[in-house]
Amino acid sequence: MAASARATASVVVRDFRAGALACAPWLLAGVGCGPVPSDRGPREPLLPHGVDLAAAPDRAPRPIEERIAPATEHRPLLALGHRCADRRTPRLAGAWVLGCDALGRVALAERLADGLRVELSDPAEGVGVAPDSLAAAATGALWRLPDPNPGSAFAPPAPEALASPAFDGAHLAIVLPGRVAISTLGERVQASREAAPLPWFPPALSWPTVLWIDERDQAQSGLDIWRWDAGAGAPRPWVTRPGDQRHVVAADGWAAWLDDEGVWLERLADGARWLHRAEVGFRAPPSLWHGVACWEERDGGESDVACTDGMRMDGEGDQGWPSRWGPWLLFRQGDDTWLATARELTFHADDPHVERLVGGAGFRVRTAWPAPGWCAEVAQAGTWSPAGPVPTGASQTWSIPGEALRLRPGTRGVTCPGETTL
Amino acid sequence: MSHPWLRAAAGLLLAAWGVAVGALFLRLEPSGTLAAIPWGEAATAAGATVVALLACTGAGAALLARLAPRALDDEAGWLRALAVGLVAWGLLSLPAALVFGVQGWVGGLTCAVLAAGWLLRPPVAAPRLSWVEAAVGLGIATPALLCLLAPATETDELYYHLALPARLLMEGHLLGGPWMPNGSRPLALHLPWTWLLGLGGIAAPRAFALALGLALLWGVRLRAQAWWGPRAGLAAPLLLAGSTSFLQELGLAHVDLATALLTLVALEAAEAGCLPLLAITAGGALACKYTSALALAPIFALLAWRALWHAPRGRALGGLTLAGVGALALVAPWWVRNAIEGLHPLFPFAGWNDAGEMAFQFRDRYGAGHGPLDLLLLPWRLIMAAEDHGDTFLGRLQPAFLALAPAALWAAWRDARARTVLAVAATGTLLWASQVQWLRYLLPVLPVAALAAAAGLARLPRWGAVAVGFAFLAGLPANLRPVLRQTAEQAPVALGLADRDAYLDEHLGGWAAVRWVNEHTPPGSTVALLFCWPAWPLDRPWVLGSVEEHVPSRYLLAREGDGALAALRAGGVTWVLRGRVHFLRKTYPFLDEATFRREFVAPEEHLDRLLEAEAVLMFEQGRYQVWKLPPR
Repeated sequence: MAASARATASVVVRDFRAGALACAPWLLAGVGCGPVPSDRGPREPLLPHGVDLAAAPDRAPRPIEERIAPATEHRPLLALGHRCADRRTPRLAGAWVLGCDALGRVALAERLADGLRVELSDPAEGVGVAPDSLAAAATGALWRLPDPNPGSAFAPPAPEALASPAFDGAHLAIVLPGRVAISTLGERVQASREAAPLPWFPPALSWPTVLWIDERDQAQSGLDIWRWDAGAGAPRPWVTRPGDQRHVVAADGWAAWLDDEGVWLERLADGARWLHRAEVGFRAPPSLWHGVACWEERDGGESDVACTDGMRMDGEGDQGWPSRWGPWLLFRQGDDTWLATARELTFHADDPHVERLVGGAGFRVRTAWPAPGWCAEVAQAGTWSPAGPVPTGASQTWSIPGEALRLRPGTRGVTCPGETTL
Repeated sequence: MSHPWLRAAAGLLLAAWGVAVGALFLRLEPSGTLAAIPWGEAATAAGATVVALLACTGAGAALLARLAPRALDDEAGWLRALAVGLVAWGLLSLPAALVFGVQGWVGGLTCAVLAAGWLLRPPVAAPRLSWVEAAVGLGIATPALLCLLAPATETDELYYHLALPARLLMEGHLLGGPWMPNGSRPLALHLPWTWLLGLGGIAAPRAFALALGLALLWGVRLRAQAWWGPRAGLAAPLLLAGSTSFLQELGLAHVDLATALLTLVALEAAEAGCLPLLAITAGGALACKYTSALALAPIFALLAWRALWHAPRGRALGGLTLAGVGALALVAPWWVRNAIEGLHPLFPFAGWNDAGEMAFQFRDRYGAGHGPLDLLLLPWRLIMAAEDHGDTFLGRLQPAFLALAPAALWAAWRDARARTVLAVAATGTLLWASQVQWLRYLLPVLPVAALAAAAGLARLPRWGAVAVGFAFLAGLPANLRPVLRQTAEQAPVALGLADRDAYLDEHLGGWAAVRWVNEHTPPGSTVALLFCWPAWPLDRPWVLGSVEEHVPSRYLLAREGDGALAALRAGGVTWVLRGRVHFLRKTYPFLDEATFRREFVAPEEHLDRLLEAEAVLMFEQGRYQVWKLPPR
């Protein structure tokens, strides 16, 4: 099944599954593979460095349109406004893409499913985003899209914030001079703890866990990641590996960060941790969607975008600043912002972002699928069977009684075959 | 009260009461205004400035007493002594820096050596000012005085006049070369600025420059009054003080007014036939700033012309030649230093060509054109079209200069001295017009132009003078406006009444990035400034920075190509502070598209590619980025 899944997968949908036997071809190819030392949690196998399985290694890179056309649809988003003051935007907030006005404030939102555009009132420069909503620390404002008018939801406002906040829809995490603070929607009291956050690096929030880049021990261990579980005590050092940890992000029980070794991904519930070795962390943070991480990496003198579930942008020129939600991958090439939409996505039973069921009877996927009109197929004993339409909406858990789940856009006007089993 | 002792006692009590009320107010008033003012810094700066001024005057007077004693005879003697002492300080500073390094105590040592001139009891009289003159001078100086302690936000202070002295003090020795190009200029004033900065903080070089500017005004007044009477003595300094380009210089640690003072004394010396004084002040002026040549060249040319008609011709020409050689000898040490270090003697104004042809400045970018018609219209445009912040002249002058132009011509027709002064001013202005037309570069000629205009005013009847007065008053609002606006912005923070960080956030581009570097990089890390100016506020050793058309950054990229960041690493640089310039095509209309792209657009794009390939972005705000250069 796995081989046929890979054969039907497009060149940009790649399989990063790891295991002891799976490492053998990578070793033969001269690519590193093996267990990664971790300063906490169980030892997990090293994910192989991304290699294009379909292209011959000595081929020159093809132009981006040629490269991704077979696997994704992509289009430039020309009407996203102006350059943003915080270069993390343009980015996705669930099914919406955010853009900026002439002053660099996040002032535009466009819904990807139908193109609905909203101009935000009282725009702000640094915002934290959650599915279909965004919040600003400087004013305490909260926008629930498609409503363009913000509510005053978070108190007190924090104009002195050192970076954009982290937002999960109900909570706001802010880094301030000498401390980190959490505000909860509707509450007037802000909880804070002493910290030494590095300016410009936003905190990460997967409630009740707050993570941030801390510089207090920089002389000894470089930049570290500190962790505070709200309501459960004081902040503590969490990742103190040698070198600089950078760009920590978190959502839905997952955290990802970058250092000089590569991209780290951790499931917060049990501390399971993976490393993808690559040259990363030189500019943009990773993007996280229900355990699927995307990042920009240097490869052959250019930068490319790669994701743990195989989605990849590596055409001629530099691609960067990934923002991922569902089948959509927002990225930039030069001054242009592009949207890539996968033509299919596959979840395998041994992907890190799925939960294997005991006894090997299938797996569970916790996700929020934003794109309507997609159809599912489930692989059992090497055979794909239709599994009805993919449900959209808020975060939900799908139970998959097989080895893999494949999602594809349906045909307009035609019902997805098969019974709904997700 | 009939008894005198009762009257005295009552008077004493009342006086004591007055003093007590004042003292208690200082102590108890609730706003805390006086407590906020940084008196300590102000006192330190004032002390260092006064000591330096006295030291220079003592040394200069001692030298003049030996070389040109008649130069000390009149009421301008102290001014000439100050000028000569300033030259001596600059000259002494080079060997002092080479032998002892660049540290505050070395500056104190040079001051002590200069001050020893007073031990020789030179016959120099203190300046005599009336209360009115003192009040007017104080009024002119007040905007500058209020802002002496303001954080530096002016471009030239940020990248050169304060940045270089601070960098030299940080390093402890002289610097130069393509990665520190300003360090290879003649440092005849910047080494004294360095000593003043080390001894008295940021306000000391500014206060010293302010004192020189006021001395220049006083010198222009004395000259005009002595040559053409009291009306000219009133007009000449007011023409300068009523011009934005002059007034804005007061209170900044720039070198233009000091250079102008030296060229004024050189003109005086030339008129008086005092060749030793001419040689010293001309050489000193050149060593301060090469733009002094705009005034010095016509002065020497005029003297040569006169010498041709003067008998014995050979002796006169020989004396003038000696004076010229003497002047060049005062600048030569800086050329020799450059040559020893393998640089072009005139570096950084020349000598960048190992990276291909690279212009240090583009003459055609500024001003109002260089064609024959443009030169004819220049006097009109210089007054009517100048803007203090535009590429057209980058400054502003009093319209009274233009109003007095015909009168100046008339005075020159009638008066030999007025003719000399006008010839020097006109020739200097023409030379200026043929080059980069920044009004600041015209400052060494401006006092001479003020004298020529004052000579014209002296010829006018009273009603004519009133008419010119109208032109002067009409020009005051526009000329004062930039200075007053700046004072309104800077004075509160200079006096400790406004938050310094908030002020810098608003007025200093890149302050957030500079602050990030200061607070979050390891102490002692070397930072490369690429396409950006703010070197002064950096607490870290820095290299490159920007000069003119961002030449050092473009030079690095042109010379090293893809190895530019590797070259920085090899030079010990671990951080890059990068500013996005986004050169505008419309500001270089005289370049063809290919040249503009090659010289300006391509280097920025190249740098972006290199940084994204080899460095790590650690901070970004607005146009400024901080990149870490990890070891390879």
